Amino acid sequence: MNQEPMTAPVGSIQKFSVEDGPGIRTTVFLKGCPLRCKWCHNPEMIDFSPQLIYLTNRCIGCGFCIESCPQGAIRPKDGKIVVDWAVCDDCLRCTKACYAGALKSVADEMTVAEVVGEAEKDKGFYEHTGGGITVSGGEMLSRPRYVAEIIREADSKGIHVCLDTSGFGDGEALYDLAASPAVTDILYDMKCIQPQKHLEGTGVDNQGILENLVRLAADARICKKITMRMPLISGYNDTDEIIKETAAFFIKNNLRKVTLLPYHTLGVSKSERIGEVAEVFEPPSPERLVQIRSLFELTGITVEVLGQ
Amino acid sequence: MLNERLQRMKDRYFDTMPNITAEHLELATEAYQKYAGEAAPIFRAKVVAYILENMTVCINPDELVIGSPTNTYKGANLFMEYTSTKWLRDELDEFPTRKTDPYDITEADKAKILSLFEYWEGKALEDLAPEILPPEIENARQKDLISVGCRNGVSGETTPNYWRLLSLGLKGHIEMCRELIGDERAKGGHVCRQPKIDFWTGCIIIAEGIIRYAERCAEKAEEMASFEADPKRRSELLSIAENCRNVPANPPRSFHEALQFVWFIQVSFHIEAPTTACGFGRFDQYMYPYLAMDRERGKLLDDQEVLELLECFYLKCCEVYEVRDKWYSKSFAGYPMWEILMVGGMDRQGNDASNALSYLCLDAGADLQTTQPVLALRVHDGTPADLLRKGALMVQKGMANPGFFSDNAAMKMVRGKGCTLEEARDWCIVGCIQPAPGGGTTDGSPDAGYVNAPKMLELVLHNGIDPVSGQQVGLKTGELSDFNSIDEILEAVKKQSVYFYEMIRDGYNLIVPIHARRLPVMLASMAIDGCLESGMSVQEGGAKYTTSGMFVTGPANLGDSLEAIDQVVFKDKTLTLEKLVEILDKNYEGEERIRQLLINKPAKFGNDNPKVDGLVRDYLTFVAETVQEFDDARGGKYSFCNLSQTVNISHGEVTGATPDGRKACEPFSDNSSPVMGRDTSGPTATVKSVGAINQTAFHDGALFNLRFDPKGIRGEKGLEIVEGVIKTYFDNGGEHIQINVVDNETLIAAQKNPEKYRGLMVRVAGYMAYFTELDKAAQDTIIDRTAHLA
Repeated sequence: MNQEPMTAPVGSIQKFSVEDGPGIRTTVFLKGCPLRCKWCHNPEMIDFSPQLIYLTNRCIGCGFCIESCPQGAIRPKDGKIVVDWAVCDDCLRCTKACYAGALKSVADEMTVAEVVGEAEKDKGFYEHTGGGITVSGGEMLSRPRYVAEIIREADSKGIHVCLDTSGFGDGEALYDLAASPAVTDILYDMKCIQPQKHLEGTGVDNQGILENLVRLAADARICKKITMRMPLISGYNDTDEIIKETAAFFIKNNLRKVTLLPYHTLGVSKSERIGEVAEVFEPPSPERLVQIRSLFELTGITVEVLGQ
Repeated sequence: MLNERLQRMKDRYFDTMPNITAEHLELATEAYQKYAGEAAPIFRAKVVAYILENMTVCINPDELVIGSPTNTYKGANLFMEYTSTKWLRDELDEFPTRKTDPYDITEADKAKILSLFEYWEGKALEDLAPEILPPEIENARQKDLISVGCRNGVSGETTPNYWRLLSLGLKGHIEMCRELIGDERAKGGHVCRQPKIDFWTGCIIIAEGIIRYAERCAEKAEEMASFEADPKRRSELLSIAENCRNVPANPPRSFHEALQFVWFIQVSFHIEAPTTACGFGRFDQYMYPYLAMDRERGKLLDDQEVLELLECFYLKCCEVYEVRDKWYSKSFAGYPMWEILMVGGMDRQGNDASNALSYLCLDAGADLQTTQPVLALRVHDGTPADLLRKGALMVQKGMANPGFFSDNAAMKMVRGKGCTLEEARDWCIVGCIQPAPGGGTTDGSPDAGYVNAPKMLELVLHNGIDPVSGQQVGLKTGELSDFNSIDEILEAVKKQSVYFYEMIRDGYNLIVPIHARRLPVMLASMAIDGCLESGMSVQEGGAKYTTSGMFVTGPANLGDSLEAIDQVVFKDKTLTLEKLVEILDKNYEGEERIRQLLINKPAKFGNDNPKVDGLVRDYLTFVAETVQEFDDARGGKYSFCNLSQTVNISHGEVTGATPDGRKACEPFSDNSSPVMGRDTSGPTATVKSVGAINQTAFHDGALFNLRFDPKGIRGEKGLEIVEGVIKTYFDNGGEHIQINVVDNETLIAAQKNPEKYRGLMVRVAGYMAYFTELDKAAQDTIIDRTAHLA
């Protein structure tokens, strides 16, 4: 069989990733996500198709991109350029003309061997710190076959894998990935426990997400790999009612670890770079964060807060 | 936490400006006139003994370890036998206000110094150097294509055999010299024997001089005790006096005496010569028996008592200075003295050697947080986890101390110098990060010189003509049209580099014999193994192992530039080589787009890219293997070290734009690190690249600075990460890593409000400096170092 190796659009391979699972890790960001979280901090990773990104601060205003654009979507402004996003069809020709690296493709198609080969360079660091590869996104569950291949390839090189998922997608596939012995950690998002609110905030229903989670948690071997991750957006999912309901759900399913991710505005500037406008939210106040933390801890859940 | 005594002492240290004083020079001038006509070793020893006999003895408030090389607190001596009056006369007025490493000087001392200059006119080694160096070498040196060391200073860099010094005492050494003289005379008179007899006689004179100085310290302490109202301080002064009556004449009877002993030796080094990098070697090893002895007798059981003594000793280490000219003060910025104090590592049998003192030495450094002594933690597979953790914790807190060293890599390096396995296991630092066989065996006069590597490429791209001066200073390596591949260019760069390394060798080999005949350093020779046995000073090659150091600046800029040429000219053919050189010659004027291409498209060193890392490795390995075949003037060999100190700034200033996108005059990459800001793949990739340059082929090691943003390594996990980075670096063949943990905001705030950040320490090269004491150029290169964040 002479099959073309499978590829996926990889946004970046981030080495020295220390907040996406244990130890020093390499996080692989796969482009494409079915959710539309309003607070998304990687908005450039949502779309499944190739996409242009424009980093204003790198632009030197040379203007070569203007001629290169077949759509005429680029024009000069204030010594730099602006992209008419409505006209741009993401053909990416301008990226070839841009020597400064201001106009770039969000992601490059990569084979599993390329991805794992790059991550393998840091194997020594994983061994000394208990790290490995983290597969993130976008939503990694949108590409279960590709992820399965990453796990298999990593396992053959003695590298552990952590999955970072919203849980939205094929539950059967997720279970198979999660059950793999090479997968040692799973970071599972809990955007909001309440179905209506979840739909409002993310554009999708949470029923399937919770079912998938319950299924994983019911398997003791998988359950112990799971750390729940909860973004905290003031006024959206940080009420006592929601936190208590969430904690109760965790306890009921034997999920004892949660990482809290207070909202930050990094995604807002990233949205601008791809010609979108993001809604701005507020993180919970530091005092509120302490309260939320203790609401979880009172039930016996271990809490970590990132970004502080 | 510092106790009240140490806090007072530290405050006083920060509140006092270093100052140049006249007394030492005045006494030296008298001694020079008094003893003129003696054979060099005897003459030099008598000059030092005269100074020791007549200099002011200072005992400062609160001190428990005493003795200073000058008559003032934080004073600096001038050594006009080394330093030319020519520039010093002109620059004397500028010292208090110059940008790097300023010194106070009183009007009275200045007048005194100027009047003494009449005697010294034309007598300095520095005055002779231009006559000794052939014109093409002097020309290359003045253009900063190379440097040639020891033209105006001593080789210095002494790590004594403290086991021997402490166990015999100086009286034991005097005895040994007397026997050697007796034996030599018994062989019958012969002119070939007299130099040895003169050498041993000189050793006796200097040892007696140091003993006499210690007695004078005892007398002073007793005198002060008799006037002291505070009974506690009176008793301290009396016990100081008691210590000084015993050491360094005799072996120490306690840990406190052992500290005093070591300090007297260090003081004397700085009285004899304008030396630097006199290290303490494996301090925790030779000092521990004295602590154990005290503890067996029920003394110093409380760690706090040990820490107080250690910290008093550490603060003394901060009091020594070497006055440098403008070039050296910029190239070695921040008053560095490289007093390296090592802890941990394995013993001669290969077992872990750490002990209670290893931990206390780190604790004292963490308490005090001063730039001296520079702590070095040796790491091997058997290093206790809690010792490494202590070091990682200090680094995480932003202390920039200790530096971490791999026993594995260092042992391979010193084996390359030709020592035994036992000596290799007992390796110690001589200089800054350079490993040497078994404690106190080696004169590793490190500063033979630095070659400006990116300048070698610039010369190749101009067929040997320096575009700055228009002179044909390099080899004619061919016209641009002759080059058809990057391999051919790399070959030409190697050829060009050898030409200049040979210049350094030839120049340095001409300078060293002058030192041997005129300026043998007697105490250093007595302290290092081999000299007493052979009857020769270290300058004559008396040490058991003799090496001279060769260095390089900007190897990462060179590697990145070669890769850029390969990618853009030979592979993509975006530009011709001629066009590229034309763009470089106009310093990218109007060519920002091309500069961006050169920055963004070709791979850069520091990103774990095998090809560009390979170019750097290829060049450095070639240089190391070439220069390590060179004979030095004393029967030793040259050693290569991938280290630039801050010469990367001076050398950058004279070098035009380079093909890696660097503009003319900008600093080069620092030491073994990637070019600032070009390692964009995170610290793991940086560490892998620097580990991939074949360091164990460099007999004098490789210095690596890594900077973390504190946010990247917080908490318990942060400590594991720091340790994981260190261990993986060592697994990959790295010898040395030092870690600055500080964010840009702090550094920029410190630039703006220096008075609020006077204690902020950074690792510059193999030394630490107070950030606010560096000039802006040196500060900026530290800010420009990539701060790794998750």
